[in-house]
Amino acid sequence: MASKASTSRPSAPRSMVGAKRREALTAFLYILPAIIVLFVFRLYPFANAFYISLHKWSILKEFYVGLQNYIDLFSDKAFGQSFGVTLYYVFFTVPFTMALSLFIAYLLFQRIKLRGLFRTLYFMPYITSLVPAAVAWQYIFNFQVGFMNYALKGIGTFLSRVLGTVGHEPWVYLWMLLMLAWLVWLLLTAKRRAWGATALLALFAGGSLALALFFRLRPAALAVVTTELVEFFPVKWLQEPRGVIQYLGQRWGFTVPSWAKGPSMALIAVSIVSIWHLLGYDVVIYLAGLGNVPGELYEAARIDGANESQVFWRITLPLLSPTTYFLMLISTIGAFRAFTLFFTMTGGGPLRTTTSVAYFIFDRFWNAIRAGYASAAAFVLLAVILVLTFVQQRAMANRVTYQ
Amino acid sequence: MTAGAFLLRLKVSNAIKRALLYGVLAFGAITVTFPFAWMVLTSFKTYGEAIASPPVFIPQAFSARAQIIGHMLASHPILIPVLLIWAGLGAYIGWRLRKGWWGALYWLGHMLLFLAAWKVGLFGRALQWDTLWAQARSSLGYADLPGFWQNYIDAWARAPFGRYFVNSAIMCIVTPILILATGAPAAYAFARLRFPGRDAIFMIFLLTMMIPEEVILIPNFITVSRLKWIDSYRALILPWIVNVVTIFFLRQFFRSIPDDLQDAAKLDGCGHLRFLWSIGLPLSVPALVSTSLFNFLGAWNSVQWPLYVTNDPNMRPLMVGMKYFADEAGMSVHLHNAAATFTTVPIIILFLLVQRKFIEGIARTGLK
Repeated sequence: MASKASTSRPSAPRSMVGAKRREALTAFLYILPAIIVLFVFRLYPFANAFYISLHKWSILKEFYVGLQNYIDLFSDKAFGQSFGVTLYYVFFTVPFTMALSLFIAYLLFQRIKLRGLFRTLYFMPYITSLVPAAVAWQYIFNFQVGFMNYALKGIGTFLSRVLGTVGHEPWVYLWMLLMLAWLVWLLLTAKRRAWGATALLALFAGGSLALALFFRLRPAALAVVTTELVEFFPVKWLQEPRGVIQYLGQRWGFTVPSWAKGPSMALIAVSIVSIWHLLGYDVVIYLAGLGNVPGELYEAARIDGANESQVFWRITLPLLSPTTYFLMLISTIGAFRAFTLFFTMTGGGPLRTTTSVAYFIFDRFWNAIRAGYASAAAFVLLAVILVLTFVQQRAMANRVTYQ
Repeated sequence: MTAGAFLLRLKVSNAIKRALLYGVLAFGAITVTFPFAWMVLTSFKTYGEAIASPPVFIPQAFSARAQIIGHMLASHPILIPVLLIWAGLGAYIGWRLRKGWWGALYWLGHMLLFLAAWKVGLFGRALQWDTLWAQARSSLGYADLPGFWQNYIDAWARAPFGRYFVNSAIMCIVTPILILATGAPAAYAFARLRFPGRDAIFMIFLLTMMIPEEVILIPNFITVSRLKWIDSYRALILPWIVNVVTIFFLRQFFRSIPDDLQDAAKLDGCGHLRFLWSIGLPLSVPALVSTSLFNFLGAWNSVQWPLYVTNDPNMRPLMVGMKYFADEAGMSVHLHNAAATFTTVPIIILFLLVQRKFIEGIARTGLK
């Protein structure tokens, strides 16, 4: 077919046209199956979803309501709450996962043995399906027999014992002296470090010094803290609808306005599982990003006398910014659309404090059988994601350093 | 400071750094793997052990059996040197045969051979495994020790897990194949053929990626139920047989095939279909494998859509079935964890087999 066209090329320009047409025809045949499926299961439903969202529609279409579903959504407290839940979730999981994964990837990128093994272990949760993972985690977070409370209670008790000695043991003075020396040394050698690293370490040293001094002088406060460390756990985790700050407020006797309740313990538990699940993916992406930083830059920096932390803050991190940007974009979108974990771990509860927007949509459609309303909510989510993507693009594009 | 002292200081500080590095990495790895370990341990606990507080770490299913074996060896000390010599021999052969994993694998087989011989009674009737086992068991008072795999058997019997696995297998094998069947020709057309509106159509393809699932699931469900496809493999598979990401990456691969190759093939009378089949696809095997792995994983992990389109328990894929099982079986956490273990293990094994390809695929492309 094609060869015939090419052999007759010099004599007849008309068959050139024929060959072109034939090529176009072949091409259309090749993309036809994909187009049909995309049309039937992506584009048509996309338009249809908008059509549905303009109707009162339960199982079947009932009647046209215009934008009423959208108007109802904005006065629906449950919908607003679900946005709040999703925002908490995004702001808790995305930065944590990324910072932690950068840290781990940076460590893995050093010249170490067993890198492959570590990478595999960190990646395993990403492979695991969220349904069995949720089952395992539900058991770990069980507030009566779960491991989480057991471990935290153990750690709290241990810390309380250690802290309890602050009142009388001489090691406190040794510790304070040590911290003081470290602090002085940190400040004297601040030039050699990036200021962020100095600030962080100084905060630790100074903080622990101040705490030790405070507790030494005020044994009563120490007693309160040591008992609280023992008694804070068990926490009800997945059954705890109160917000974290609200919870602390009720425990320690200060009042919290309702807008400052904070995410519920249940949401925090789900977020922890989400971080666990996504960490390995980010680690792998960061490892790839680290591998793309040209080695000459490191060498040049070393020759110029830069130390490790300077190299990290001033070379590695800026050169990783495309990776960071990519990860931030897709993790934010992913977190906004999070459904499965909420569905499998909490089912939106307790008291709707883990009802994400995606779960809200599912719940309105599947349990309340309100297809029109759920579709409208889905479109609002889509709009939010689009706006967010646009904003991130605008805000980040100038700050991303390409080599 | 002398040079020697300086070097020593450097070495010491390096050693501390290394220790810290490995310590942190190991701590992180243990934390991350802990839920798996806890899940597997719980799956062997009895119900009583599973809900004990403080938690039981090592289930009796393990500790009792270890005790029984210890008792067996202690009551027939002759077995200990025999076992040690055989194990040492195996380790030596494994080491000489091939270092690393294969050597370890050989060692495992070597030891299993010993156990088989023991079980069959090659060492005489008095020393036969089952006899010794029964003796040790009764003298330790473990007469009513439940079977080792009891939780797994119970969990498996409580729901049609066999069907779930079959459904998931069909879904997860057919979907990636069909994705390639629709995707490869389309990618080829976008990469190597000229036709009016090519770039515009490709742009539309890419734009469909922006449509989140939440928006289209409801109308798709309505479509599928109008077609009376509910409770069929068609409903599970057909909506997902086009994957734009796959088309995108295959297009990249096809574009990298040199034009000269195609011209030469053309002169030899090779049409487009033939070229795609016998040159394009073989050249892009890495892309085919990594995208298919992701499509497989995507199908395996999908929950919401399969939930919508399956009413009949016999049509549920594994993840949906597992979700129903977790909701229905009440508070029997030991069975839940057993089921969670046997639904997780196949995918983990698969991952371990192909992990290099998989992780490299992610690192190269950011596939998700």
